[in-house]
Amino acid sequence: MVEQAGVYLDNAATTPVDPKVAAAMSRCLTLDGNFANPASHTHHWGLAATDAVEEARDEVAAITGAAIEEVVFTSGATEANNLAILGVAQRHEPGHMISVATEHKAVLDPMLHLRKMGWRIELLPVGEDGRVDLQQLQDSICDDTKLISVMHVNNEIGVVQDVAAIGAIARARSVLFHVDAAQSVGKLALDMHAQQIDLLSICAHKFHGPKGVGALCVRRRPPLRIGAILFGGGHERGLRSGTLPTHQLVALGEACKIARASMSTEMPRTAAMRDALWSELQSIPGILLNGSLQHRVAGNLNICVEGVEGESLVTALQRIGVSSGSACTSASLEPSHVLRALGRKPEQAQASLRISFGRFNVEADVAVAAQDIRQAVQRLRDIAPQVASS
Amino acid sequence: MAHSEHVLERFRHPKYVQNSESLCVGRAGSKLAGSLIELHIAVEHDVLQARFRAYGCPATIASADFLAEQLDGSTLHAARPDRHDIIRALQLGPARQHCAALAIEAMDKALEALPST
Repeated sequence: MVEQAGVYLDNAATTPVDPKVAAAMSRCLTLDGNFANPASHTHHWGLAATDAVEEARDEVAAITGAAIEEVVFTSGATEANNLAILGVAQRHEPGHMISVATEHKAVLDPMLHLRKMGWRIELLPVGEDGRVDLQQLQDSICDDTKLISVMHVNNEIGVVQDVAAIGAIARARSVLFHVDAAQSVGKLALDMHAQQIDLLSICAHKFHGPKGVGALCVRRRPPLRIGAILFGGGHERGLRSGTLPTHQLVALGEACKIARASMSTEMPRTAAMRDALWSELQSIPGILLNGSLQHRVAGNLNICVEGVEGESLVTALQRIGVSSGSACTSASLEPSHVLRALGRKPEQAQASLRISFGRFNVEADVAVAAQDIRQAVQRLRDIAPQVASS
Repeated sequence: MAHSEHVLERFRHPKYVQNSESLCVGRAGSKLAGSLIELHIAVEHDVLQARFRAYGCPATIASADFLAEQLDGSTLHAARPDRHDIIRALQLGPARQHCAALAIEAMDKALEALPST
């Protein structure tokens, strides 16, 4: 892989589909496979597709701790987040919602949409380590707080929030609790009932499933009623209309199955690669780690590199695929909202790299990444004006 | 983020990076704003020597390298390139044209700083 195509280290953006998942998916496309509409109960093709979809639902339930009837299939985590937030809003008079400044736009944007409709949206700050202050969260709950939405693992910095503690706070005050678990499913243990989570979003493509499929797990005991945002057929108990994509759902189920079986060995292996790279990079002057190392998902490393511009750094890294928090698309620079929330200065946030390991990375990838980052940083610093920070 | 091959080639292999201290300097932009170009110019027998240093995106670095190449070896009173020359030569898209303007600003300041003009 290294010699031919470089090293892919952007698994937090998306992951390559596991070949076993791809094989399961491809068996659901053609006449000799499970291609049929799971809503067709008048023939054996349809009934076989129903069985396949329900097996996938079992797998999603097993990896999230949900009951089978709590799983609502969606097109991914963005739709699941929208369904959770807008669906709760539909069942209540406008009131108060709490989230966090470092959330994904798929949570922030529906919340800001609700603000235009009269909701009070409160975005809590995070500490330098990227974590929410639990006391501050507790203190921010009002009599009319309807929902708290906190992501389990941050997509940029990989920082893990204590969702069980937040769940306990929310439940004690009878406030609904939504968790965007797109970056944690398949990587960290989830049990929505033990963690007192009412609504849980996941997607397949962050853990070696395909893009375009995910789920929202909606608590049923006691029943939690949310409104739908898509209409046209009443699928998924009326919460998500649209023909169920058998091939996508079978792939999601297979991805869950593989992740659940391999999590206990795979996560320490991935964390070891991340730690080895961080150990190498620390010897380069002017490198800062963004967010807590202790409370961090296994594969994620996010660093600021002083004295180097982010897009140039990423462009110089020809052999490794990583992502940067900035892009020079206009004269004014927009650093990542996550890094700003950590208190990083704009000139620091300009050169940030997110390096994320996944199932198909190997130990040798660490040395390639370390060498290339070191060389690129040195070269760009050699070209840069020798002035302090003007 | 897509850059033309012209930009990428100059970004990867810039030929006119400044490495001596005896030149007049024109500076435009700032690291805080995301791009900073220094154009370093010296004159000997009416002929310019031009070099650059730059902090910024690949188009910023490529613009500075291209401009230094155009100026280097030209006579003091020759016509100067403008930003359109850089935009055309490097095939800069609309979102990158400020990089060319920044290089021209640095050139103008460097030429103003020359003692003989």
